[in-house]
Amino acid sequence: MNRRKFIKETLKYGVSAGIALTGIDKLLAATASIVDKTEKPLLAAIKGATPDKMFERGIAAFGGMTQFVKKGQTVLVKPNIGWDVAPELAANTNPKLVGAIIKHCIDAGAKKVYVFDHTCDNWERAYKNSGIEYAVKQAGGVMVPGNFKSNYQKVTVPGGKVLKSTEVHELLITSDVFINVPVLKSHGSAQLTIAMKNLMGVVWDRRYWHITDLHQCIADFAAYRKPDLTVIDAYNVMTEHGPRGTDGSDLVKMQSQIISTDFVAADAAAAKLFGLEPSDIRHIKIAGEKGLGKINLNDVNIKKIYL
Amino acid sequence: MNKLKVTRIIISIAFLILFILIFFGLPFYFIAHIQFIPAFINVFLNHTLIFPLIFLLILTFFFGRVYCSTLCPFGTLQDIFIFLKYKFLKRKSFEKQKNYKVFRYIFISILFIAFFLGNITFLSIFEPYSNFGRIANEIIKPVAYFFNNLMSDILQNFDVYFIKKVETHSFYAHSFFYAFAVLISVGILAFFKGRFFCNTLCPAGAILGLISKYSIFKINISEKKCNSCGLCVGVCKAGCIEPLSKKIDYELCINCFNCIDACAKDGLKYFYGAKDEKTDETKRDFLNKTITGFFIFLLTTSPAKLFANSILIKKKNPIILPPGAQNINNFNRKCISCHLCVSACPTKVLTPTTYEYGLKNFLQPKMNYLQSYCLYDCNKCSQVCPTGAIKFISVEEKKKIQIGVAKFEMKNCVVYENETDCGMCNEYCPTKAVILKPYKNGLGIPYIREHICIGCGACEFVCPAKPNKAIYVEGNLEHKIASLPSYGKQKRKKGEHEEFPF
Repeated sequence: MNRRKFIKETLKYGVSAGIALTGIDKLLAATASIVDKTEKPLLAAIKGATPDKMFERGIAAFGGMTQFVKKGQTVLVKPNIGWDVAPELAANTNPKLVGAIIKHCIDAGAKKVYVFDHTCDNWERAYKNSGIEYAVKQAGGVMVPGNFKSNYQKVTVPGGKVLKSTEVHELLITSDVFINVPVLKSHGSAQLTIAMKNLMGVVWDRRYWHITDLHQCIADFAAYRKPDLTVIDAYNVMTEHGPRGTDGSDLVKMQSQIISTDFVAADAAAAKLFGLEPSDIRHIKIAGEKGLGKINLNDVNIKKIYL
Repeated sequence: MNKLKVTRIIISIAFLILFILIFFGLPFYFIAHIQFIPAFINVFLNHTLIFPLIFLLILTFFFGRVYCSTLCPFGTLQDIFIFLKYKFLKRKSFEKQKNYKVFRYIFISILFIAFFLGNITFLSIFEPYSNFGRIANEIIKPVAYFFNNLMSDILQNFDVYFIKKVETHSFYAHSFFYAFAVLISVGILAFFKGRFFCNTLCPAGAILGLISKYSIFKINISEKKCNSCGLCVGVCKAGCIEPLSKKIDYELCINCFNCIDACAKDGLKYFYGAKDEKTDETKRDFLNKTITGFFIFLLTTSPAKLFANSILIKKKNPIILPPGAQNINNFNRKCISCHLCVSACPTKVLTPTTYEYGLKNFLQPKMNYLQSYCLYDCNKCSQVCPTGAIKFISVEEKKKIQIGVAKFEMKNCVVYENETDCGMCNEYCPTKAVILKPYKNGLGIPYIREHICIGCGACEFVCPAKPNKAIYVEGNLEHKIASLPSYGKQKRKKGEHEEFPF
């Protein structure tokens, strides 16, 4: 145990030292330049094509993936792979989209692209039957297990009202770039599951969240590490019976996608797309109040792209 | 080494490895189906799959008890211990063993009579296949997984995710120690007495021994060449050679072919045709068996019936049968606790019991929703079960089989107690039998539509309420058919062709 910890620590500091020496200043400069130009966070809403095509057009509006991923960096892509169901049923993120994102990362020079989720159903079956494992391997990413406690480390959540500390997957701590790729769908208890809710898949003990005010926990955790980029899959949208869904009769083919650097704004836009007001979803409302992002879409620089 | 022995060793090791691999998910389940007792149960209780049994009987009739020396994993396991004995023990030789005929046949009769009366316990205690299954599942698999995960953890530290980590099922002490005790005792027996188990206690060995007595191919001792030196006896793990009378007890001989090499005079041959045994001896034997068998039948009738009715079920923590088990009687009658389903179950929801089915069904698996839940699209256990205790059902059939019904205890529920959102049960429910009904302050509280609940236990497993779950499954002792959920027509098609609403 001690040896493992030692190796982990060494790696962690080694990696962070490496980043500090090589690219972090450039990265910071790059992100700063985007924010500076507009003063408003950018949000691209794309409609009318397959998920991979929409992403290609959408990311171009941000100046390409090179704006987010620098040469030699490690990237964590976090889709929703919660359930052991087929891709058509849209309970998980569309595998084509995940594959396209990984390809862009690798083309931008990423050293490694990791993908995992702390699945709800049996992880091996969920990885396989969601089609995501295959898509990741095809695109050159690395599929990492998320269902083993040994991979999780305790961290404190800054400014957490209810959730003060939790155990998160080590890749969330060590990866240079974090890309959140949720799927938009209805959700029994959280009303909607989009970007902030998707981060429940990087923590170990979700039951605690459910016991102690779910919405507040989701909003609290949003402050821990904001994704560098959020890509919301709204190609097929489960309008009822979420998050697991049933036979697909409750899907609406919206053929949409939302990309943003502000994941609270992305959640707000996706909620509107779903037909709800962002302030009606308690965790989005709380996140807005905490200043973790914009929930008033007037404060966001929106680019609509119809294909 | 002679060719026969080499062939025997190769086949036995190959089958042992394949057999262990099916516990790791290799889909060669026919290896379990051609095990003698599963084949026997299939014919006499399920009235299906006659071929494996016929194959085994014909095989034995032609070649003797080659089943015991090649196909039986428990036999090969004992051979490994015997091999270790040859390697490490100074006093290596075996001795001629007594053929405990009377004891054996009385003993075997008890097992089978109890079995036909509906009590499978005794059979499964002494039956070789399920004993090996438990050893594979409780000892071999966890050890292998431990090393796999250790390697995986080490490699992950170097950023290599090549070795997939695997989830081991929880540790069940009673099941582990049972398997461990069997392993140790059979190991000690094998070490000192060779195949003593196979020739005294094993029900499969006893039945095959009856046939191998008359088998066409046999090992024969040449009257001319043999000088009764006893070299062959020293290597005979079945202890079946009588060097002075130059005879082999074919009931006990398992055709390991060790003796052929041992003979300095080349006096042992495996070939067609054998000497007749004295007829009146067999006649007497037959009479003996019939009479003792009859008395045992009389003796065991009442206790067996008594056992069959005693299903110990606590109302609060009921048995939930795996889908395909049909009803508790079918399951109790056919399950030999080999734990192949426990091993194959991807979610590890099937776990060995202690006394929940009654003491006589010790170690039989049940659905344990505190550990996990049953996947909606999975019928793995029904694919692997070699005895039909879990009958094969298609995935489509399985989605309708109701193995239990979820019940809701509002006083334990997070929504009731904390007045915050939870709804985990509704999230996981595959049929949406659990819905959230409007409650105060815009919250939703679980409500169960029992007619579409299949009892998969996802709700019970995920329910975060402590210390007692707010939602739990009450098992059905007989499968029922759940109504197919109808999700209704899509309420809205909004968003398909519209522009963005922002």
